[in-house]
Amino acid sequence: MDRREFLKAMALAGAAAAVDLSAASEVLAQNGGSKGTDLVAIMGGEPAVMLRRMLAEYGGIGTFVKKGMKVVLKPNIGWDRTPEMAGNTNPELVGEMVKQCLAAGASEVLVFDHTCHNWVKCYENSGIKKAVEAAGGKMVPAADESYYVEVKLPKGVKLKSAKIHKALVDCDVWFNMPVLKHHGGAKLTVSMKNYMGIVWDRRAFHSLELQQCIADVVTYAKKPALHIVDAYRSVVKNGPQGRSLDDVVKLGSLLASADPVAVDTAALKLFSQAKPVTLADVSHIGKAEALGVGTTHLEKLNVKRIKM
Amino acid sequence: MNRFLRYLRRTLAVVVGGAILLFFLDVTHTMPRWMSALLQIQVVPALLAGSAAILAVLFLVTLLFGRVYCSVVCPLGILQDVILRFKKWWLRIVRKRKRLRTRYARPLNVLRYGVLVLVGVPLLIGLTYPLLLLDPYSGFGRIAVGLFRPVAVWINNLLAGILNAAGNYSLYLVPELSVGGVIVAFAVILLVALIVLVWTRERLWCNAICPVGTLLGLISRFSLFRVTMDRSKCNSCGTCASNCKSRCIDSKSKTVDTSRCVTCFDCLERCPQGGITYAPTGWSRARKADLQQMKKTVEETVPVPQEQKEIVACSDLEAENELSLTGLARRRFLKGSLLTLAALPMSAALGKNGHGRGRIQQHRVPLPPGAVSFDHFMEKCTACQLCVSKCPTQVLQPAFLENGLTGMMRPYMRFKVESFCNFECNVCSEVCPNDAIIKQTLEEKKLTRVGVAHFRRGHCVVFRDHQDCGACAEHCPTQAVHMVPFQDGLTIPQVEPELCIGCGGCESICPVVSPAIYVEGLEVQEKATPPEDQKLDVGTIDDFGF
Repeated sequence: MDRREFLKAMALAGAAAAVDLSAASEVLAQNGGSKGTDLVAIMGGEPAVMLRRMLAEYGGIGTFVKKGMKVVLKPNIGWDRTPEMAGNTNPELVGEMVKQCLAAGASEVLVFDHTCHNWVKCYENSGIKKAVEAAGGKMVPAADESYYVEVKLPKGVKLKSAKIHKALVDCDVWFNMPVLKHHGGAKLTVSMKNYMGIVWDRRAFHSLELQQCIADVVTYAKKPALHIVDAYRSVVKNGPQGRSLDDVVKLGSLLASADPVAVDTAALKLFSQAKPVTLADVSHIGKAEALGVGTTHLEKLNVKRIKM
Repeated sequence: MNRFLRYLRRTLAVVVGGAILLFFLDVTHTMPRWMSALLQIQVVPALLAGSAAILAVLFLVTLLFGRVYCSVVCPLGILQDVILRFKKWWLRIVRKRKRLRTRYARPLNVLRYGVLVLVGVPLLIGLTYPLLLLDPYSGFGRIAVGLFRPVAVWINNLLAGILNAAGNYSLYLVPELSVGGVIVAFAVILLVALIVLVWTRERLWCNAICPVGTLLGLISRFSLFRVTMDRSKCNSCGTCASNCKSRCIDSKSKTVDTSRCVTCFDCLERCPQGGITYAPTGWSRARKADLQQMKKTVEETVPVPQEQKEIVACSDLEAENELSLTGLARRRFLKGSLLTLAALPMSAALGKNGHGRGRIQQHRVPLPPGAVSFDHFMEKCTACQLCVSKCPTQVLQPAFLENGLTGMMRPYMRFKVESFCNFECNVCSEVCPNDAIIKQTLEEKKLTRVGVAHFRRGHCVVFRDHQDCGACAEHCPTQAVHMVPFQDGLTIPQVEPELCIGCGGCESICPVVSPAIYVEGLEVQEKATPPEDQKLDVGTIDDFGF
């Protein structure tokens, strides 16, 4: 997208904002970044600093969040683990994102995850509840089926529909905020595996065919504006929970893209430096590419690599 | 002063009773854990936990001030006062300003000491079940969790539904706790029995059936402070006796049966002569005279067999009392025996694998971490349901016959989706007032093995359907269950029993209907091997790798 196109989009967004804010967000979300950036990779900073830098690469948070929008952040809060154990998304990162969205004029920022451990303890011990509430966001419960609504997945191969959290279905724009980790079942968990926390019946994934179902749910029509991958600390073995600090390696990085396949591919390559894992191992990445969700060919994308 | 005493009693009862009730009904687990101290000072929990200091204080307080315990500490005593309060309102409003009128009743010594012996003797040989059935604290717990908690959950969810719809998430939906019919049944029986007894005979439960009341009565008989009648002022008008919910004031002989007095202080203000006081007269010389007088009265009133016949014949109200009570006790006993008889074939049919998930050859269900052993747990637990109501994942459930007859109502771990023992949690150990679940630090609890995972390869989706899964390993906090190479790049679970603590994460998440991995409980809990980890040496990563 060149500058003219961008200006056109902005003008269109401005016009649409007067009529319908969510329409504007869709236009912007579809257009992804503003400067033709497909993927941003940052290394060497603290989580909040890297987040601000990443957003700057996309033209600031204002590219994605407009005044009055309802925003949802979906970090990984699956486990009753402290931040150092890296079982969940870094709380500083989530807190900073809440702050950014509110600064851009978001009417509210909601944060949830359908956790694996008891959700009250996960929200608490992950440090995410504290960080989100301190920044002015709201934690939303997700541990009851009544919080979910049935959504069709026409492009899904095995999974044809799923019950997805209402907060996400109703919001104007959402951000997927996974943490990069080893995973015993899916081999690696990044942005696409993180989708399992927006659905109610996770067990169906395991009985139908885990890797295919992960790819299927990512075909959900409402795409996040960005997949922001926390690779600051990473569980490299005994994932996804990790059982001790010995399982955690500091990668000190942050990746972001609107393309889940691309960002997962990049994350896999980053992770492989600590513990080798191949695209063939993490077969949901290839399966998602086959469904047209994104591309594994990073060389064809405009990737920004920044070392701080 | 007299009025002050009554207000003090009422205030303390409302505060203590209210706090205990809230602690049991805390559906969103927001109450501080130290509140369990209110339960540790209950007689039966202190006795079973072996807290000599607490018992000594309780007995000393009783020796000094009488059975204040029964009025301001015991939640079941306070509950009875609440029921009585309802009766008073009913009398005043529905029955048009009628007042509660009681009359003196002789003590039901055979019954109360009989129950004490029936509960106490088995206890000496480690049989806690009779005590479990009659302990006032545990009975209250079962009423609170079985009957009141569902109402609390319903109210919470109603409010949460309204608030959440309006975008406020300060309350959230709580899954309904399915505490099983057995708790509800026992709670209903006890509550109905209490309502009937209170409505007809006020605090008779505390003075005829409750083993704690009888035990404390043996001490309060000799208490220093006591409700005392001033013989010079008393004109035997009977006002005090008609306001005594223990029915222990005999205005004719001008005596108060201190073994039954629960120090409610209701009588003090009522005496038109100002002849009743709560005073430290118990150990004085005047008291000795009283004792002699009482002895005389007792001698006069204790019936010889012939007289007893007469009393029955003329259907004296008191005697009728005693009769109907013995009848009640008999009926209870019969009911209990029938229940037991009915349960026997059921338990035989069920064997010991009446389990939550599918049909698996499980021989023993796991007990809560810290239960030490089957025997220890059966000796100490009185099935108050506190741990059941506090367990954040609701994995602790009262057993029906999963643990045999003696296990009935006592908790065990029932694994189902999202219900397994949370690794970072030891709330059951922190709150159990009986030390049936012993106090363990979180670190100790993380190494307490309650059972061992067994893997059934043939049922596993990796083996059966050739698919990735690994949900069990994903949920295993110690990686006792971990994935090892199988075929075609697939990995399959493997169990290292020495690392397993039996938390049931694997069993609860297994997608197979009859789970491919399940936990077999242990009779004696063990210490698991701490996992040994080595830091992966990756050097410094300063490149993106792409």
